[in-house]
Amino acid sequence: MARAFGIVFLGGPRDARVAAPTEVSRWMLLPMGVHALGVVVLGVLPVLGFTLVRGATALALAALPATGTDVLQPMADALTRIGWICGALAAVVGAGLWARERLARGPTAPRRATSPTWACGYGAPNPRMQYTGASFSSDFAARFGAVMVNLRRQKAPLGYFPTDSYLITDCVDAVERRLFSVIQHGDASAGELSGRLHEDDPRIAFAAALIALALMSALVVLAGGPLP
Amino acid sequence: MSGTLVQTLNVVHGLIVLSMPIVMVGLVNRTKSLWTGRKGPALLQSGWDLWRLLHKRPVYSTASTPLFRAGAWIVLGASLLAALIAPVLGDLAPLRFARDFIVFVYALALARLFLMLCALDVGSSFEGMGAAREASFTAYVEPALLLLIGSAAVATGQTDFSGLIGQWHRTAAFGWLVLPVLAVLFVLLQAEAARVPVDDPATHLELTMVHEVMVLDHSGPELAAMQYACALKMSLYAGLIAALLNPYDPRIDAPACVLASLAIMAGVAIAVGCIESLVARLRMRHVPAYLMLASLGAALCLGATAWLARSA
Repeated sequence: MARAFGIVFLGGPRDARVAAPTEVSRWMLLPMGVHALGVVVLGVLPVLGFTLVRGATALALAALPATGTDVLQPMADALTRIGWICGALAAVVGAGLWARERLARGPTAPRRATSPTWACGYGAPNPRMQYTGASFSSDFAARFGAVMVNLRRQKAPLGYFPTDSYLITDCVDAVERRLFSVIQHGDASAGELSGRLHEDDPRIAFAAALIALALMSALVVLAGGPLP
Repeated sequence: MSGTLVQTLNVVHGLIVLSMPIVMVGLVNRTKSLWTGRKGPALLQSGWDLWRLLHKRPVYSTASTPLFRAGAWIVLGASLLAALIAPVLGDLAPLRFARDFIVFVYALALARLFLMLCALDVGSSFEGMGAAREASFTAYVEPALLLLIGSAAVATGQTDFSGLIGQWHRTAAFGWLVLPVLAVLFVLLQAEAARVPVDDPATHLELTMVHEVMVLDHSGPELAAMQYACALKMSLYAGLIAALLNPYDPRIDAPACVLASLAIMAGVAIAVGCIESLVARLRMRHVPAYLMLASLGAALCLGATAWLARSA
Protein backbone atom coordinates (compact mmCIF):
# COMPACT_ATOMS: atom_id res chain seq x y z
CA MET A 1 0.00 0.00 0.00
CA ALA A 2 2.84 2.37 0.89
CA ARG A 3 4.54 1.55 -2.41
CA ALA A 4 1.32 2.16 -4.37
CA PHE A 5 0.78 5.45 -2.57
CA GLY A 6 4.35 6.50 -3.30
CA ILE A 7 4.02 5.65 -6.98
CA VAL A 8 0.63 7.27 -7.51
CA PHE A 9 0.80 10.40 -5.34
CA LEU A 10 4.45 11.08 -4.64
CA GLY A 11 5.71 10.31 -8.12
CA GLY A 12 8.20 7.68 -6.97
CA PRO A 13 9.55 5.78 -10.01
CA ARG A 14 8.58 2.11 -10.35
CA ASP A 15 11.98 1.31 -11.76
CA ALA A 16 15.39 2.97 -11.60
CA ARG A 17 15.58 2.81 -15.41
CA VAL A 18 12.59 5.07 -15.77
CA ALA A 19 13.57 8.46 -17.13
CA ALA A 20 13.90 11.19 -14.54
CA PRO A 21 10.69 13.22 -14.25
CA THR A 22 10.77 16.61 -15.87
CA GLU A 23 8.26 19.35 -16.45
CA VAL A 24 6.14 19.01 -19.61
CA SER A 25 7.07 20.98 -22.70
CA ARG A 26 6.10 24.62 -23.13
CA TRP A 27 3.65 23.64 -25.87
CA MET A 28 1.63 21.74 -23.29
CA LEU A 29 1.88 24.56 -20.76
CA LEU A 30 0.79 27.17 -23.29
CA PRO A 31 -2.93 26.23 -23.38
CA MET A 32 -3.06 26.27 -19.59
CA GLY A 33 -1.35 29.64 -19.62
CA VAL A 34 -3.87 31.00 -22.13
CA HIS A 35 -6.74 29.76 -19.96
CA ALA A 36 -5.14 31.23 -16.83
CA LEU A 37 -4.59 34.55 -18.59
CA GLY A 38 -8.24 34.64 -19.66
CA VAL A 39 -9.39 33.92 -16.12
CA VAL A 40 -7.15 36.65 -14.69
CA VAL A 41 -8.15 39.20 -17.33
CA LEU A 42 -11.87 38.55 -16.82
CA GLY A 43 -11.36 38.56 -13.06
CA VAL A 44 -9.44 41.83 -13.00
CA LEU A 45 -11.61 43.44 -15.69
CA PRO A 46 -15.07 41.92 -15.19
CA VAL A 47 -16.59 44.64 -17.33
CA LEU A 48 -15.07 42.93 -20.38
CA GLY A 49 -17.12 39.81 -19.68
CA PHE A 50 -20.17 41.95 -19.09
CA THR A 51 -19.62 43.72 -22.43
CA LEU A 52 -19.70 40.35 -24.19
CA VAL A 53 -23.17 39.53 -22.89
CA ARG A 54 -24.57 43.04 -22.61
CA GLY A 55 -26.13 43.07 -26.08
CA ALA A 56 -27.89 39.74 -25.59
CA THR A 57 -29.07 40.79 -22.11
CA ALA A 58 -30.43 44.06 -23.48
CA LEU A 59 -32.40 42.08 -26.10
CA ALA A 60 -33.87 39.86 -23.37
CA LEU A 61 -34.70 42.85 -21.18
CA ALA A 62 -36.38 44.63 -24.09
CA ALA A 63 -38.88 41.78 -24.25
CA LEU A 64 -39.96 42.47 -20.65
CA PRO A 65 -42.42 45.19 -19.68
CA ALA A 66 -40.57 48.52 -19.53
CA THR A 67 -39.59 49.54 -16.00
CA GLY A 68 -38.22 52.93 -16.95
CA THR A 69 -34.85 52.34 -15.31
CA ASP A 70 -31.65 51.27 -16.96
CA VAL A 71 -30.45 48.29 -14.96
CA LEU A 72 -27.43 47.53 -17.12
CA GLN A 73 -25.58 50.83 -16.85
CA PRO A 74 -25.27 50.79 -13.03
CA MET A 75 -24.00 47.22 -13.29
CA ALA A 76 -21.45 48.25 -15.90
CA ASP A 77 -20.39 51.19 -13.69
CA ALA A 78 -19.96 48.91 -10.65
CA LEU A 79 -17.95 46.39 -12.65
CA THR A 80 -15.78 49.16 -14.10
CA ARG A 81 -15.08 50.44 -10.58
CA ILE A 82 -14.23 46.91 -9.43
CA GLY A 83 -11.90 46.61 -12.43
CA TRP A 84 -10.12 49.81 -11.43
CA ILE A 85 -9.71 48.57 -7.86
CA CYS A 86 -8.41 45.17 -9.01
CA GLY A 87 -6.07 46.88 -11.46
CA ALA A 88 -4.82 49.22 -8.73
CA LEU A 89 -4.25 46.26 -6.40
CA ALA A 90 -2.35 44.39 -9.13
CA ALA A 91 -0.31 47.52 -9.91
CA VAL A 92 0.56 48.14 -6.26
CA VAL A 93 1.56 44.52 -5.64
CA GLY A 94 3.47 44.42 -8.94
CA ALA A 95 5.31 47.66 -8.13
CA GLY A 96 6.15 46.36 -4.67
CA LEU A 97 7.53 43.13 -6.08
CA TRP A 98 9.53 45.02 -8.69
CA ALA A 99 10.99 47.30 -6.04
CA ARG A 100 11.80 44.32 -3.87
CA GLU A 101 13.56 42.55 -6.75
CA ARG A 102 15.57 45.69 -7.47
CA LEU A 103 16.58 46.05 -3.83
CA ALA A 104 17.48 42.37 -3.63
CA ARG A 105 19.92 42.82 -6.53
CA GLY A 106 21.63 45.83 -5.00
CA PRO A 107 25.33 45.66 -4.05
CA THR A 108 24.61 45.84 -0.33
CA ALA A 109 21.66 43.48 -0.36
CA PRO A 110 22.14 40.10 1.32
CA ARG A 111 22.26 37.19 -1.09
CA ARG A 112 19.20 35.00 -1.29
CA ALA A 113 19.55 31.53 0.05
CA THR A 114 17.83 28.40 -1.10
CA SER A 115 17.38 25.13 0.67
CA PRO A 116 15.20 22.03 0.38
CA THR A 117 11.66 22.39 1.63
CA TRP A 118 11.98 22.88 5.36
CA ALA A 119 8.71 21.52 6.66
CA CYS A 120 8.84 17.96 7.86
CA GLY A 121 6.99 15.23 6.02
CA TYR A 122 7.66 14.21 2.43
CA GLY A 123 10.15 16.74 1.19
CA ALA A 124 11.13 15.53 -2.28
CA PRO A 125 8.58 16.99 -4.67
CA ASN A 126 8.86 16.28 -8.37
CA PRO A 127 6.76 16.92 -11.49
CA ARG A 128 5.14 13.50 -11.24
CA MET A 129 3.50 14.31 -7.92
CA GLN A 130 -0.24 14.44 -8.09
CA TYR A 131 -2.48 16.53 -5.95
CA THR A 132 -5.98 15.41 -5.25
CA GLY A 133 -8.91 17.59 -4.37
CA ALA A 134 -10.43 14.87 -2.20
CA SER A 135 -8.83 16.09 0.99
CA PHE A 136 -10.28 19.56 0.45
CA SER A 137 -13.79 18.34 -0.01
CA SER A 138 -14.10 15.02 1.78
CA ASP A 139 -14.92 16.55 5.17
CA PHE A 140 -17.46 18.89 3.62
CA ALA A 141 -19.00 16.10 1.52
CA ALA A 142 -19.22 13.82 4.56
CA ARG A 143 -21.23 16.38 6.52
CA PHE A 144 -23.52 17.34 3.66
CA GLY A 145 -23.83 13.91 2.09
CA ALA A 146 -27.60 13.99 2.51
CA VAL A 147 -28.01 16.95 0.15
CA MET A 148 -24.99 16.39 -2.08
CA VAL A 149 -25.92 13.40 -4.20
CA ASN A 150 -22.75 11.63 -5.18
CA LEU A 151 -23.15 9.14 -8.02
CA ARG A 152 -20.52 6.44 -7.95
CA ARG A 153 -19.91 3.77 -10.56
CA GLN A 154 -17.04 1.40 -10.24
CA LYS A 155 -15.74 -1.84 -11.57
CA ALA A 156 -12.89 -3.31 -9.59
CA PRO A 157 -10.14 -5.33 -11.30
CA LEU A 158 -10.72 -9.04 -10.83
CA GLY A 159 -8.54 -12.08 -11.46
CA TYR A 160 -4.93 -12.43 -12.52
CA PHE A 161 -5.46 -10.68 -15.86
CA PRO A 162 -8.16 -8.13 -15.14
CA THR A 163 -10.03 -6.44 -17.92
CA ASP A 164 -10.94 -2.78 -17.86
CA SER A 165 -11.70 -1.34 -14.47
CA TYR A 166 -12.94 2.09 -13.62
CA LEU A 167 -14.13 4.38 -10.87
CA ILE A 168 -16.43 7.25 -11.81
CA THR A 169 -17.76 9.64 -9.21
CA ASP A 170 -20.01 12.55 -9.99
CA CYS A 171 -21.45 14.98 -7.47
CA VAL A 172 -24.69 16.05 -9.08
CA ASP A 173 -25.04 19.77 -9.46
CA ALA A 174 -28.43 20.67 -10.92
CA VAL A 175 -27.32 24.09 -12.20
CA GLU A 176 -24.12 22.77 -13.68
CA ARG A 177 -25.96 19.86 -15.24
CA ARG A 178 -28.42 22.20 -16.93
CA LEU A 179 -25.58 24.35 -18.21
CA PHE A 180 -23.55 21.48 -19.52
CA SER A 181 -26.46 19.48 -20.90
CA VAL A 182 -26.91 22.19 -23.55
CA ILE A 183 -23.26 21.89 -24.50
CA GLN A 184 -23.50 18.11 -24.47
CA HIS A 185 -26.54 18.20 -26.77
CA GLY A 186 -24.72 20.58 -29.12
CA ASP A 187 -21.65 18.40 -29.06
CA ALA A 188 -23.71 15.28 -29.75
CA SER A 189 -25.49 17.00 -32.66
CA ALA A 190 -22.19 18.21 -34.11
CA GLY A 191 -20.76 14.72 -33.75
CA GLU A 192 -23.76 13.18 -35.47
CA LEU A 193 -23.55 15.72 -38.29
CA SER A 194 -19.85 15.20 -38.79
CA GLY A 195 -20.46 11.46 -38.90
CA ARG A 196 -22.79 11.92 -41.85
CA LEU A 197 -20.30 14.11 -43.69
CA HIS A 198 -17.43 12.68 -45.63
CA GLU A 199 -14.48 13.86 -43.63
CA ASP A 200 -12.03 13.06 -46.37
CA ASP A 201 -13.67 15.59 -48.71
CA PRO A 202 -12.13 19.03 -48.01
CA ARG A 203 -14.86 20.83 -49.98
CA ILE A 204 -17.57 19.68 -47.61
CA ALA A 205 -15.45 20.53 -44.58
CA PHE A 206 -14.75 23.97 -46.02
CA ALA A 207 -18.44 24.56 -46.76
CA ALA A 208 -19.44 23.42 -43.25
CA ALA A 209 -16.85 25.72 -41.67
CA LEU A 210 -18.07 28.61 -43.85
CA ILE A 211 -21.69 28.05 -42.80
CA ALA A 212 -20.68 27.85 -39.13
CA LEU A 213 -18.67 31.05 -39.46
CA ALA A 214 -21.59 32.84 -41.13
CA LEU A 215 -23.96 31.64 -38.39
CA MET A 216 -21.65 32.79 -35.63
CA SER A 217 -21.14 36.17 -37.33
CA ALA A 218 -24.90 36.59 -37.64
CA LEU A 219 -25.38 35.79 -33.97
CA VAL A 220 -22.69 38.28 -32.97
CA VAL A 221 -24.26 41.00 -35.14
CA LEU A 222 -27.77 40.28 -33.85
CA ALA A 223 -26.55 40.29 -30.24
CA GLY A 224 -26.01 44.05 -30.60
CA GLY A 225 -29.73 44.56 -31.19
CA PRO A 226 -32.14 44.43 -34.14
CA LEU A 227 -30.77 45.53 -37.48
CA PRO A 228 -31.80 49.01 -38.64
CA MET B 1 -20.30 66.94 6.93
CA SER B 2 -17.33 68.78 5.46
CA GLY B 3 -15.03 67.04 3.05
CA THR B 4 -12.03 67.83 5.24
CA LEU B 5 -13.50 65.91 8.17
CA VAL B 6 -14.23 62.90 5.94
CA GLN B 7 -10.69 62.94 4.60
CA THR B 8 -9.28 63.26 8.11
CA LEU B 9 -11.38 60.34 9.31
CA ASN B 10 -10.25 58.30 6.31
CA VAL B 11 -6.63 59.00 7.25
CA VAL B 12 -7.41 57.99 10.84
CA HIS B 13 -9.04 54.82 9.48
CA GLY B 14 -5.82 54.06 7.59
CA LEU B 15 -3.67 54.68 10.68
CA ILE B 16 -5.90 52.45 12.81
CA VAL B 17 -5.83 49.70 10.20
CA LEU B 18 -2.03 49.85 9.95
CA SER B 19 -1.24 50.12 13.66
CA MET B 20 -3.91 48.07 15.40
CA PRO B 21 -2.69 44.67 14.10
CA ILE B 22 0.50 45.15 16.10
CA VAL B 23 -1.27 46.55 19.16
CA MET B 24 -3.95 43.85 19.12
CA VAL B 25 -1.43 41.01 18.94
CA GLY B 26 0.41 42.68 21.82
CA LEU B 27 -2.79 42.93 23.84
CA VAL B 28 -3.66 39.28 23.19
CA ASN B 29 -0.18 38.14 24.24
CA ARG B 30 -0.16 40.42 27.30
CA THR B 31 -3.59 39.11 28.37
CA LYS B 32 -2.45 35.52 28.00
CA SER B 33 0.68 36.30 30.01
CA LEU B 34 -1.31 37.91 32.81
CA TRP B 35 -3.57 34.86 33.02
CA THR B 36 -0.48 32.70 33.51
CA GLY B 37 1.01 35.01 36.15
CA ARG B 38 3.66 36.60 33.96
CA LYS B 39 4.17 40.17 32.91
CA GLY B 40 4.50 39.24 29.26
CA PRO B 41 6.08 40.95 26.27
CA ALA B 42 5.75 44.64 25.48
CA LEU B 43 2.61 45.73 23.65
CA LEU B 44 4.56 46.58 20.50
CA GLN B 45 6.79 43.51 20.59
CA SER B 46 5.16 42.02 17.47
CA GLY B 47 6.03 45.24 15.63
CA TRP B 48 9.70 44.83 16.56
CA ASP B 49 9.50 41.19 15.51
CA LEU B 50 8.15 42.22 12.11
CA TRP B 51 10.91 44.84 11.80
CA ARG B 52 13.50 42.18 12.59
CA LEU B 53 12.03 39.81 10.02
CA LEU B 54 12.04 42.53 7.37
CA HIS B 55 15.81 42.83 7.76
CA LYS B 56 16.49 39.11 7.60
CA ARG B 57 17.70 37.25 4.56
CA PRO B 58 14.90 35.08 3.14
CA VAL B 59 15.50 31.41 2.44
CA TYR B 60 13.46 29.93 -0.39
CA SER B 61 12.69 26.30 -0.99
CA THR B 62 14.41 24.87 -4.06
CA ALA B 63 11.01 23.53 -5.09
CA SER B 64 9.32 26.92 -4.98
CA THR B 65 8.42 29.04 -7.99
CA PRO B 66 8.08 32.83 -8.40
CA LEU B 67 4.48 32.40 -7.21
CA PHE B 68 5.82 31.66 -3.75
CA ARG B 69 7.83 34.90 -3.67
CA ALA B 70 4.89 36.98 -4.87
CA GLY B 71 2.25 35.14 -2.83
CA ALA B 72 2.99 36.69 0.56
CA TRP B 73 2.74 40.21 -0.85
CA ILE B 74 -0.49 39.42 -2.68
CA VAL B 75 -1.93 38.10 0.60
CA LEU B 76 -0.88 41.33 2.30
CA GLY B 77 -2.17 43.53 -0.53
CA ALA B 78 -5.55 41.80 -0.66
CA SER B 79 -5.90 42.01 3.14
CA LEU B 80 -5.11 45.74 3.02
CA LEU B 81 -7.71 46.19 0.28
CA ALA B 82 -10.30 44.44 2.46
CA ALA B 83 -9.28 46.67 5.37
CA LEU B 84 -9.92 49.77 3.28
CA ILE B 85 -13.49 48.61 2.57
CA ALA B 86 -14.35 47.37 6.06
CA PRO B 87 -15.66 50.11 8.35
CA VAL B 88 -13.97 50.88 11.66
CA LEU B 89 -15.34 54.34 12.50
CA GLY B 90 -19.10 53.98 12.29
CA ASP B 91 -20.40 54.03 8.74
CA LEU B 92 -17.26 55.49 7.16
CA ALA B 93 -14.62 53.75 5.09
CA PRO B 94 -12.03 55.08 2.63
CA LEU B 95 -13.27 52.79 -0.14
CA ARG B 96 -17.01 52.86 -0.34
CA PHE B 97 -19.38 52.14 -3.23
CA ALA B 98 -22.52 50.18 -3.98
CA ARG B 99 -22.20 46.43 -3.33
CA ASP B 100 -18.57 46.82 -2.22
CA PHE B 101 -19.08 43.97 0.26
CA ILE B 102 -18.65 41.58 -2.66
CA VAL B 103 -15.18 43.01 -3.26
CA PHE B 104 -14.51 42.70 0.48
CA VAL B 105 -15.44 39.01 0.50
CA TYR B 106 -13.47 38.31 -2.66
CA ALA B 107 -10.42 40.25 -1.43
CA LEU B 108 -10.32 38.01 1.64
CA ALA B 109 -10.85 34.97 -0.61
CA LEU B 110 -7.97 36.09 -2.85
CA ALA B 111 -5.70 36.38 0.17
CA ARG B 112 -6.75 32.92 1.32
CA LEU B 113 -6.24 31.45 -2.16
CA PHE B 114 -2.67 32.73 -2.41
CA LEU B 115 -1.95 31.61 1.13
CA MET B 116 -2.96 28.09 0.11
CA LEU B 117 -1.11 28.27 -3.24
CA CYS B 118 2.09 29.29 -1.45
CA ALA B 119 1.66 26.34 0.89
CA LEU B 120 1.21 23.96 -2.04
CA ASP B 121 4.06 25.51 -4.03
CA VAL B 122 6.84 24.21 -1.80
CA GLY B 123 5.61 20.64 -2.17
CA SER B 124 5.53 19.80 1.52
CA SER B 125 2.91 17.24 2.48
CA PHE B 126 2.25 18.98 5.80
CA GLU B 127 1.75 22.36 4.17
CA GLY B 128 -0.62 20.75 1.68
CA MET B 129 -2.54 19.34 4.63
CA GLY B 130 -2.77 22.82 6.14
CA ALA B 131 -4.02 24.18 2.82
CA ALA B 132 -6.66 21.45 2.69
CA ARG B 133 -7.84 22.38 6.18
CA GLU B 134 -7.93 26.06 5.28
CA ALA B 135 -10.02 25.34 2.17
CA SER B 136 -12.33 23.10 4.14
CA PHE B 137 -12.84 25.65 6.94
CA THR B 138 -13.44 28.40 4.39
CA ALA B 139 -16.42 26.49 3.05
CA TYR B 140 -17.99 26.74 6.52
CA VAL B 141 -17.00 30.33 7.25
CA GLU B 142 -17.92 32.21 4.09
CA PRO B 143 -21.67 31.47 4.28
CA ALA B 144 -21.70 33.00 7.77
CA LEU B 145 -20.20 36.27 6.54
CA LEU B 146 -22.52 36.49 3.53
CA LEU B 147 -25.61 35.66 5.58
CA LEU B 148 -24.60 38.31 8.10
CA ILE B 149 -24.22 40.87 5.33
CA GLY B 150 -27.63 39.80 4.04
CA SER B 151 -29.14 40.39 7.48
CA ALA B 152 -27.59 43.86 7.61
CA ALA B 153 -28.89 44.62 4.12
CA VAL B 154 -32.43 43.61 5.06
CA ALA B 155 -32.26 45.64 8.27
CA THR B 156 -30.70 48.84 6.93
CA GLY B 157 -31.55 48.88 3.21
CA GLN B 158 -28.00 50.06 2.50
CA THR B 159 -25.89 48.69 -0.33
CA ASP B 160 -22.35 49.55 0.77
CA PHE B 161 -20.49 47.62 3.45
CA SER B 162 -19.73 50.53 5.75
CA GLY B 163 -23.37 51.63 5.66
CA LEU B 164 -24.57 48.09 6.30
CA ILE B 165 -22.45 47.60 9.42
CA GLY B 166 -22.22 51.20 10.64
CA GLN B 167 -25.94 51.93 10.49
CA TRP B 168 -27.22 48.59 11.71
CA HIS B 169 -27.34 49.73 15.34
CA ARG B 170 -29.79 52.48 14.37
CA THR B 171 -32.47 49.98 13.34
CA ALA B 172 -35.21 48.94 15.73
CA ALA B 173 -34.46 45.23 15.48
CA PHE B 174 -30.79 45.55 16.39
CA GLY B 175 -31.41 45.13 20.11
CA TRP B 176 -32.75 41.65 19.49
CA LEU B 177 -29.88 40.65 17.24
CA VAL B 178 -26.83 42.27 18.78
CA LEU B 179 -25.66 39.24 20.74
CA PRO B 180 -25.94 36.64 17.95
CA VAL B 181 -24.38 39.06 15.46
CA LEU B 182 -21.45 39.68 17.81
CA ALA B 183 -21.05 35.95 18.37
CA VAL B 184 -20.96 35.28 14.61
CA LEU B 185 -18.43 38.06 14.02
CA PHE B 186 -16.28 36.76 16.88
CA VAL B 187 -16.24 33.22 15.44
CA LEU B 188 -15.36 34.69 12.03
CA LEU B 189 -12.48 36.57 13.67
CA GLN B 190 -11.21 33.39 15.28
CA ALA B 191 -11.40 31.50 12.00
CA GLU B 192 -9.88 34.21 9.77
CA ALA B 193 -7.12 35.17 12.18
CA ALA B 194 -6.30 31.56 13.11
CA ARG B 195 -7.00 31.93 16.82
CA VAL B 196 -8.05 29.46 19.51
CA PRO B 197 -10.32 27.41 19.47
CA VAL B 198 -10.19 27.12 15.65
CA ASP B 199 -6.42 27.20 15.36
CA ASP B 200 -3.53 27.66 17.76
CA PRO B 201 -0.88 30.17 16.70
CA ALA B 202 1.46 28.94 19.46
CA THR B 203 1.44 25.26 18.61
CA HIS B 204 4.65 23.54 17.56
CA LEU B 205 3.13 20.33 16.21
CA GLU B 206 2.56 20.40 12.45
CA LEU B 207 -0.19 17.81 12.67
CA THR B 208 -2.42 20.22 14.58
CA MET B 209 -1.57 23.40 12.68
CA VAL B 210 -3.67 25.20 10.12
CA HIS B 211 -2.28 28.67 9.43
CA GLU B 212 1.17 28.17 10.91
CA VAL B 213 1.87 25.04 8.89
CA MET B 214 1.13 26.93 5.67
CA VAL B 215 3.82 29.52 6.41
CA LEU B 216 6.47 27.06 7.64
CA ASP B 217 8.65 27.66 4.59
CA HIS B 218 8.30 31.42 4.67
CA SER B 219 11.12 33.43 6.15
CA GLY B 220 12.38 36.97 6.38
CA PRO B 221 10.22 39.68 4.78
CA GLU B 222 7.75 37.15 3.32
CA LEU B 223 7.08 35.73 6.78
CA ALA B 224 6.63 39.27 8.09
CA ALA B 225 4.06 39.95 5.35
CA MET B 226 2.16 36.75 6.17
CA GLN B 227 2.13 37.40 9.91
CA TYR B 228 1.11 41.01 9.50
CA ALA B 229 -1.68 40.01 7.09
CA CYS B 230 -2.99 37.50 9.64
CA ALA B 231 -2.96 40.14 12.39
CA LEU B 232 -4.56 42.58 9.97
CA LYS B 233 -7.49 40.22 9.47
CA MET B 234 -7.97 40.04 13.24
CA SER B 235 -8.03 43.82 13.55
CA LEU B 236 -10.31 44.01 10.51
CA TYR B 237 -12.98 41.87 12.19
CA ALA B 238 -12.43 43.68 15.48
CA GLY B 239 -13.00 46.90 13.52
CA LEU B 240 -16.29 45.51 12.21
CA ILE B 241 -17.37 44.81 15.79
CA ALA B 242 -16.29 48.34 16.74
CA ALA B 243 -18.25 49.87 13.87
CA LEU B 244 -21.26 47.81 14.89
CA LEU B 245 -21.19 48.82 18.55
CA ASN B 246 -19.83 52.36 18.34
CA PRO B 247 -22.55 54.61 19.80
CA TYR B 248 -21.00 57.85 18.47
CA ASP B 249 -21.64 59.31 15.05
CA PRO B 250 -18.35 60.23 13.36
CA ARG B 251 -20.10 63.16 11.67
CA ILE B 252 -21.07 64.72 15.01
CA ASP B 253 -18.47 63.64 17.54
CA ALA B 254 -15.43 62.40 15.65
CA PRO B 255 -12.89 62.23 18.55
CA ALA B 256 -15.29 60.26 20.76
CA CYS B 257 -16.06 57.93 17.84
CA VAL B 258 -12.35 57.26 17.25
CA LEU B 259 -11.66 56.65 20.94
CA ALA B 260 -14.71 54.38 21.28
CA SER B 261 -13.63 52.31 18.27
CA LEU B 262 -10.11 51.94 19.63
CA ALA B 263 -11.48 50.93 23.05
CA ILE B 264 -13.82 48.35 21.52
CA MET B 265 -11.03 46.89 19.39
CA ALA B 266 -8.81 46.66 22.44
CA GLY B 267 -11.66 44.96 24.29
CA VAL B 268 -12.00 42.43 21.50
CA ALA B 269 -8.25 41.68 21.71
CA ILE B 270 -8.51 41.17 25.47
CA ALA B 271 -11.53 38.88 24.93
CA VAL B 272 -9.51 36.85 22.40
CA GLY B 273 -6.67 36.60 24.92
CA CYS B 274 -9.02 35.53 27.72
CA ILE B 275 -10.60 32.83 25.57
CA GLU B 276 -7.18 31.56 24.51
CA SER B 277 -6.16 31.38 28.16
CA LEU B 278 -9.28 29.65 29.43
CA VAL B 279 -10.41 27.45 26.56
CA ALA B 280 -8.50 24.64 24.92
CA ARG B 281 -8.24 24.47 21.19
CA LEU B 282 -11.00 22.32 19.69
CA ARG B 283 -10.22 18.91 18.28
CA MET B 284 -9.83 19.16 14.54
CA ARG B 285 -12.98 17.16 13.78
CA HIS B 286 -15.06 19.47 15.98
CA VAL B 287 -13.92 22.69 14.30
CA PRO B 288 -16.32 22.39 11.30
CA ALA B 289 -19.27 22.04 13.69
CA TYR B 290 -18.11 25.15 15.57
CA LEU B 291 -17.84 27.10 12.32
CA MET B 292 -21.18 25.78 11.09
CA LEU B 293 -22.74 27.12 14.28
CA ALA B 294 -21.66 30.58 13.10
CA SER B 295 -23.35 30.02 9.74
CA LEU B 296 -26.46 28.72 11.50
CA GLY B 297 -26.46 31.77 13.79
CA ALA B 298 -26.11 34.08 10.78
CA ALA B 299 -28.96 32.29 9.00
CA LEU B 300 -31.16 32.72 12.09
CA CYS B 301 -30.20 36.41 12.18
CA LEU B 302 -31.26 36.77 8.56
CA GLY B 303 -34.58 35.04 9.19
CA ALA B 304 -35.23 37.07 12.34
CA THR B 305 -34.34 40.32 10.60
CA ALA B 306 -36.68 39.58 7.72
CA TRP B 307 -39.47 38.63 10.14
CA LEU B 308 -38.98 41.73 12.29
CA ALA B 309 -38.79 43.98 9.22
CA ARG B 310 -42.01 42.50 7.89
CA SER B 311 -43.88 42.80 11.16
CA ALA B 312 -42.70 46.39 11.76
